[in-house]
Amino acid sequence: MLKIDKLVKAYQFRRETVPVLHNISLEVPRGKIFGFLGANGAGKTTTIKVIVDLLFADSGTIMIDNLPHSSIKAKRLIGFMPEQPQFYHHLSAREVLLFVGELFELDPKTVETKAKNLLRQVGLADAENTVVRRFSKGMHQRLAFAVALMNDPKLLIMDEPLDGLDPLGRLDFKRLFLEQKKLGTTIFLSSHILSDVEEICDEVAIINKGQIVKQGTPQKLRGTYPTLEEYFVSTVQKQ
Amino acid sequence: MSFKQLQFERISWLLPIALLLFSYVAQINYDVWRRYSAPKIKTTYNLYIEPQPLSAESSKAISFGAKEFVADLYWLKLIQYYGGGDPNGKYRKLAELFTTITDLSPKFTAAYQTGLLILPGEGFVNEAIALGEKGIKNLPDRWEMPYYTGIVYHIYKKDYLTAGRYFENAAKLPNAPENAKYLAAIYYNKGDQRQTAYALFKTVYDGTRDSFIKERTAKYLAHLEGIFLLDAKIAEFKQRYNRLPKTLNELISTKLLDGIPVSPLGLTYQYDAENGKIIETK
Amino acid sequence: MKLNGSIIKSIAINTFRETVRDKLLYSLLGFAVLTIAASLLAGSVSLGQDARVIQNFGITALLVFLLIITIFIGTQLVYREVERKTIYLTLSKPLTRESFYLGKYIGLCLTIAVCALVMGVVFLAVLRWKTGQFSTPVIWATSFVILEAWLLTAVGLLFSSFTSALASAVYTFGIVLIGHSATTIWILSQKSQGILRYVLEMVYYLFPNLEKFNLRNEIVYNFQPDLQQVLLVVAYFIAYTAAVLLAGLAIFRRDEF
Repeated sequence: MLKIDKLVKAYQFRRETVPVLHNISLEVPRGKIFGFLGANGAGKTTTIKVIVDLLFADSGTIMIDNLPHSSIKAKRLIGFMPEQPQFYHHLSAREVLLFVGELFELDPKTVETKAKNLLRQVGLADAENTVVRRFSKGMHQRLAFAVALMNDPKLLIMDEPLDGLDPLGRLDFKRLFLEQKKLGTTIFLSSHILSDVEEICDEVAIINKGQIVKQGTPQKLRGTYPTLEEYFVSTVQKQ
Repeated sequence: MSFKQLQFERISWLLPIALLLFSYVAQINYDVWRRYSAPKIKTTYNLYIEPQPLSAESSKAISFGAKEFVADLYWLKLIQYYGGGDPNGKYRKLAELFTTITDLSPKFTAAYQTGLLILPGEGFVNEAIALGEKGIKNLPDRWEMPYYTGIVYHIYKKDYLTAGRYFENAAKLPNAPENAKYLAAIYYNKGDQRQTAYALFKTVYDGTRDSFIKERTAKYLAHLEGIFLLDAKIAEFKQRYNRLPKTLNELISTKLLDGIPVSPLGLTYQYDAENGKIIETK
Repeated sequence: MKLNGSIIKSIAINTFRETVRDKLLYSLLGFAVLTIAASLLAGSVSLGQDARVIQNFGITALLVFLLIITIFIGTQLVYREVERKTIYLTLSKPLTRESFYLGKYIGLCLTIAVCALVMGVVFLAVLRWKTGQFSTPVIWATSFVILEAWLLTAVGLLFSSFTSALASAVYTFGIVLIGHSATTIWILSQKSQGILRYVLEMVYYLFPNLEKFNLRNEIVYNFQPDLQQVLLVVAYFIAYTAAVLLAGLAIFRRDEF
């Protein structure tokens, strides 16, 4: 579904070049939940931003369902939830979804009911007409998830979706992810909360200092370690 | 908390009030000093009141295209300046202001009219004539330009021939008052000056819609009416007693007049006992 | 360059809605309306020249406030998108950056037009009340002010595509000053010699000549522009704005967020 091949990316700060991603290659199988793990500053967000075309790769290719990732057709397949999502302060939750619907050029007749359903699904039915400015962090997160689902994506890309949620919210979100998986959606999520990832992911990749260190099922990677977390710590420290 | 601290916190809110009060006292003292001890400041002219107009070129450059707007700002400034009164008795910057205004706004009719009306009286006769020429050039269709310039030539230059030429030019322009030609004729014959001046002011007074010009000309008219009244009474005195009065007060003592009229222009009517003529002095 | 009409429209409307719901805009607009009303006061102390003073003060206030609004929203809005990361929401969707940029521009133009309309109507009402006349020159002058503001919006967007909000506001303001000094610059260039003359002439042709949009000095003389003048000014506006927009797009297309 998502195929990243030899991705290289460096940031330019004035005359200095700071390499962030060295030669990243990975493949996300269709219909699976894929965990993208790494410490802070490992390159998770950069990779995701390159996938959704907010940053440009120095070299390498990214294909989504065999389409180049920056093409309009590929973008139609993606649902994207950024890290610490923000919305236009002047819009209400409903208006945000309608605006996103317009950007996806969805049928205006169905868009209204769709927005309503999604808000109910993520538990924001009561806040439908509240201006986003008044939203709490958790509510932003929920709205972002609704936005990501607006176009019935084939591929959900989420950057730290569970970050900043309370335990109940996390539980809620994990349930929603599994629901999406049942519908056949491929999910690509980054996280540093490994216990959550271990629970729901079918496959994970570990990124450290801009390189993929390991890729496989959580069970296989963990091997003899009691938890994925302990495996992760030992792998990253070895580097 | 010590006793001392407590004391200070209790009265701390008084401090700003006390400081404010002190500032008022200082301010009032300053104003009094400025007003009544003016000689202490060693400037001949009060630079705070006197406007310092920029040259037309600089004004245009800093107006960033809003020339008419800057002209209006100078116009308002001029009104403040002239209306406020100059403590030193002479409006040094008056002509300069009119030049800048009409450079910025070459078609500002009222500015020319006002300038022609007040500049000569403040001692800027040649400047007024230059302003009139500029007006004639920039507003070739306005009869007021040559007409008002003609008035300046008549009253301040006593050059009746030139005045007559300007009136003749004014008469050729659209909407010119009917008597412009008539006045021009009188000028060429060099008639009675005060009577013609009166006739001139009367046409201006009747023709203008500008409240300031109307007010100003009304004052001129009343001033001349005062002179005419005195002239008539002197003539009456001469007829009755077969001699000229020695002073104007003699007119009052013989019950010909209730009192000496007061000129609205702030001038005084002086009497020349030698030839029985009225002279106006400042 | 791929443009999508319906997406440009959505982004434009969203941008318009954002500015209209911005409280700051209201305060600016209120202030502008107040200033136009205050010109009444200036008019009353002008020795019978009140119609003239109200017209000149009013149109100048309209210009100044419209330009403040233009500089403010033109340089703030794109920057704010990046700052608040709302641009992630929009740019990750199936649309080209060209559509986004143009949508922003059109939305800002819409806001500016509405602001100018509000101020223009107040201005005309004040004039009507004081002089009893309906002034067509004011409509011409205001329309030209709108064109000028639209051009400057494109300039503001260009700057904000590569520098910070404050810097682009300062640069745009600089362009306003240079643009309105076009006549002075030309006169200076004709008076100068040698290399200075070429530099000044280059400045004259490179920077937008905002004096072309200046009909404000003529409104008190009831001046009506002729068709050829209007067409040439509109052509100048279109050409210059399109050039600035394309330059801005070339930069924005490569911007990373």
